[in-house]
Amino acid sequence: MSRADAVQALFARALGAEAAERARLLAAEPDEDVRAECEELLRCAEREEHPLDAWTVEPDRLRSALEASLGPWPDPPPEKVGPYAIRGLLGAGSMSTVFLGERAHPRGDVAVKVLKPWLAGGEALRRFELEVELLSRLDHPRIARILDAGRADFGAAPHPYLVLEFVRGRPLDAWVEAERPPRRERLRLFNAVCAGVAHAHQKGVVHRDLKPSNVLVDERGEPHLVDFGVARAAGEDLRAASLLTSMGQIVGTLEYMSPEQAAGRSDEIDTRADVYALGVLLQELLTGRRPIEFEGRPLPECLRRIAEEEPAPLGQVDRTLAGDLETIVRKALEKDRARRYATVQELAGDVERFLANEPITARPPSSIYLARKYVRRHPAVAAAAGVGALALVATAVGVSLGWREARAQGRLAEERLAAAEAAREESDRVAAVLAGVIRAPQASAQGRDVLLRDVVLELGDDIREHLPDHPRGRGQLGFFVAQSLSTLGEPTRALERVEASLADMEKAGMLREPIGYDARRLRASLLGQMGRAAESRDAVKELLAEGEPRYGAEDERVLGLLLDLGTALVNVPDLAAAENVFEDALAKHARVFGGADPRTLQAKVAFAGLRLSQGRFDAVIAELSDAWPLLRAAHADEPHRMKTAIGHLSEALTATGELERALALRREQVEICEAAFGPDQYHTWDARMDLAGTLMTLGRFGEVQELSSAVLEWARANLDASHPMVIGSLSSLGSCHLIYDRFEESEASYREAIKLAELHYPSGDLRITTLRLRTAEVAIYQAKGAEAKALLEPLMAELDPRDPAQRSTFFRVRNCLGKAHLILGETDRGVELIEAAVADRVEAEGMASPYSVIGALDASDSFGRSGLYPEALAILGPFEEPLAELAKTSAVHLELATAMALQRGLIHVRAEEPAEAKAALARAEELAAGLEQPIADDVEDAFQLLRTGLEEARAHR
Amino acid sequence: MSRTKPERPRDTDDVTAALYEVLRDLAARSMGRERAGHTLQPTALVHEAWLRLARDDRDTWPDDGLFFAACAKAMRQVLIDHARRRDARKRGGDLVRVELADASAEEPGLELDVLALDEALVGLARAYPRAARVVELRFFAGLTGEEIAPLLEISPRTVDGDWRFARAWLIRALEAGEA
Repeated sequence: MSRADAVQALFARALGAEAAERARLLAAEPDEDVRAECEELLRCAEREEHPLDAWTVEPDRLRSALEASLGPWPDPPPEKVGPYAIRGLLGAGSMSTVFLGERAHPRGDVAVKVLKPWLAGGEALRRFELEVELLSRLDHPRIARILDAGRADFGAAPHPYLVLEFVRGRPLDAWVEAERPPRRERLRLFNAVCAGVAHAHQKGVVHRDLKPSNVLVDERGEPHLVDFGVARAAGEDLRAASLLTSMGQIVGTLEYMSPEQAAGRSDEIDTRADVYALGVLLQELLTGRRPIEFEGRPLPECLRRIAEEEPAPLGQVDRTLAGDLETIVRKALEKDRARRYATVQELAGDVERFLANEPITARPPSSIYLARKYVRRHPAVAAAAGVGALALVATAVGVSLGWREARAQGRLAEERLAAAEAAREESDRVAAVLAGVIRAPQASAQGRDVLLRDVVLELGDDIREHLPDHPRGRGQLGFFVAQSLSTLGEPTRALERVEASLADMEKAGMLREPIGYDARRLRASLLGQMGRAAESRDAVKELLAEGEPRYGAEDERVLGLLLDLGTALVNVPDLAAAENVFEDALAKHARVFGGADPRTLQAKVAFAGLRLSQGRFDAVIAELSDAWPLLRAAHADEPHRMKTAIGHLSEALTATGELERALALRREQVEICEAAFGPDQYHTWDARMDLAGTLMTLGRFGEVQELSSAVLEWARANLDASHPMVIGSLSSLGSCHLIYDRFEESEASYREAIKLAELHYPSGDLRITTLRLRTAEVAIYQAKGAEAKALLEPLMAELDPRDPAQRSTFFRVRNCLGKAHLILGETDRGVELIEAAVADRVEAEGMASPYSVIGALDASDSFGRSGLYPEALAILGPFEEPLAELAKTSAVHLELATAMALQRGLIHVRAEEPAEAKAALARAEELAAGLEQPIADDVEDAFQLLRTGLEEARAHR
Repeated sequence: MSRTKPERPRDTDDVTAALYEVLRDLAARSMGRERAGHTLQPTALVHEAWLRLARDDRDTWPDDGLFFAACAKAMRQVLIDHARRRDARKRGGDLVRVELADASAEEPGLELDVLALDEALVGLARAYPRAARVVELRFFAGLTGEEIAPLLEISPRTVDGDWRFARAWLIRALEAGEA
């Protein structure tokens, strides 16, 4: 180690050490010189606030240092410059010093600007002369006028100076800060500045350094533009152009600098650079903040940000500025000057129109344009939701690249080259469509982060329009769009698109190609999602029969289709067949891909769907919990693909009473989506919606209501009016209202949901039926029998009780219709329907099914309310014995048996049969004693009701 | 924004010479243009210099480290040059105090003589070249420790250690010079 190294090493160790340790370290140093130097250096290191520290990036200090090193000039100030008496210093300009001067005739203050002597030769002088020349072209009340120019002696040589109108005022930012004018006043002021700049532009002068400190506001509140020191002549002034090119273009202040200035593209700097600076100025006037703040940032970073960073939309800085003002500022600040306002007049015109409440000319950018920016900022979202949009670009580029490569290699046979050439032409077309969409103005994407969904839809429309003679391209693009829509939770639209795309593919003979096959698979899966389970099953079977020989039994596609088939069979439902398919599929997945592969994991998730339908909740929980860490890892970048898995697992957890765990799962998913996509993207809201569903099963209706309202608000603002998310959140709001006995609100929510569902889903869709049923149930609660009947009768005709998917709904409709008849006093018909509903359910699900028991309890309650006590008791009779047996081993049935005893007791009370009622109560108490879990609230209520009823009966007697 | 092109590496001093003219002009024109604007930060000057040079010379920078080192050297040269000019005027005896409201008030804390600092830095560079480079980048290119570390291919911790050491060393040298 050299001596120098030894010194530095010892210094480093000793500096960080405590006093004692330091002394020990120094004492241990054998070389006395090293020790002595180190001690001295350590003493110096203790010195605080040494001037050296001020050499860090403190601009004021550096400024002083630099200015001190340059020296003030002139020093002392002259008494006179030409005929003007000097009264003081106004400031130092970029190349010059500005004095406050006094003019004799007519008497008045002026500003006298003198070029600094060390710049008085060469380019700086020519620039000074140019300023004089440019200023003398200008004559506008909003621009400080040039009054005189000349040369004066300062000791040595004659020195150029120019004399300007003196503006007694404050810089724009300081003025706004002090006066705090209202928004309209700020806008008016801004337009006055624009008027001055526009005048300069008309005279061929670009200011290039517009910023608040170069706008002085006088006592009357009128702005004046000053400092044309870096202005340049626009247009044909060759002399100025060549001069300035050699001077270099980096003049101006970073925050107000247009991207073309920042990049030093001098040939591109024109009046639109001033438009950009005015855009910054406008935002600063409105919000007090510049679009991009550079405070304290390293300058290479600033440069990059000027070129790349999309400023936050104005509406995000201040909500009240969303809309037209945001659009105006955005257009002025476009990175590409071709997208900016072409002239300052156009910018000022839009501000004028805004003030007059007229429509502005600037249009919010098209959604795909925003989407591209968005994708750049949020790659995770792109990965998740932008399947289509990105795949499109990839297709276009990929085909094109492939062609180029083929060309370059030159090894391809003629015909293959011809095929590649055709493909290239196709890709050019595709690219043209994309470009068209990118350019198309679109009014709907006001300011907010654009939803990829909008882009996808926009893209879809353009395909049809722009590729009329290219069924191949149309088919391909249509498929991608459909894929995206499917990912974005819109199976209806996706199905429409994929069917259109398949028609195109058929024309182009693509159905047998892999992409055609994939499109058909997507269609089959969408059919399933739309509740058309049998059609879905048949379509999948057909695809399998075709695919297996072509691609092989272990092909990824074919294996995926097996899962689709299993899922379709679960939905049909044909659980036995589904079981066989899934077992086969899972074994094959594990063999071909390995146990931890994401595809195998998806197979497990699909299988869990079957287990759920079989009621084998423990199996679902065990299998999915096992696979959970792997699932999470496999979908780290696409957390929304966990939706199905989370759905299955939390449903199983709910069914087994592990509600809190289910809830935790939902909450975690919301958080993960927030982190991956941001708080305001589709998948995040979708996760919140699922969370609301779980909260509902937990009976936390207050939270459900809050969450559903938020979901509804977002979905209404961002999605189609009849998007499933709108319908779903309306429906859960309807349920919340019902719980809190707000019948009118509940009915209104349901009715609106029905209206939208009718627009979105095909007629006869089970979701519409369910909503109508719920509306009818609300009517029943309000004893509106006729209304309920009107809603339910068409449903009875529509539903097919033989279809297993519709059966359960059919029972509910029939039961509900019976209640309606009872309300209307049509007793016989009512009893008949309700009894049939109970019998049907027992037939379908067996006596032991909790749903059957609940159906009987409900029926008994209905009869009891109508005074039909014998019927009310009779309907319970057949259940009591089997239930007593089951209650010995099953907690659920024990609770049901308790409830049934209570129901019996309540009927006896109403029927004024106190002895029987008392016996029923005793039975219920006996049963309840065996319950391990605390009694549910409504059972507790029933106990209370029964006890009170008995006491009243006793008192009555 | 990439300046990385290996074909034409240049020596730091060559680049410094080219930068010097640019920086001197920029620094001079920045005087007083803003009260406390960015254009006065050394980084701003360096940046502007880069912008200006990048136009014609975009591909000639071998790497960021060389560029910033060159800028720092050039900036240092600018300051020394101005300090010498001031000294020359002082010696001319025409120094008169001016009372002007807006005149650049002397900052009381900053009495550091650029020429003395330069001299001290030359000394430091002889024994501790890396520490001297850290100081140069910090003082004259306005870079932070985090920014300096990758340029010198050392860790931010090492930069910090170098700075503490250099600071003590320079204080000692400056005080020795005064005495």
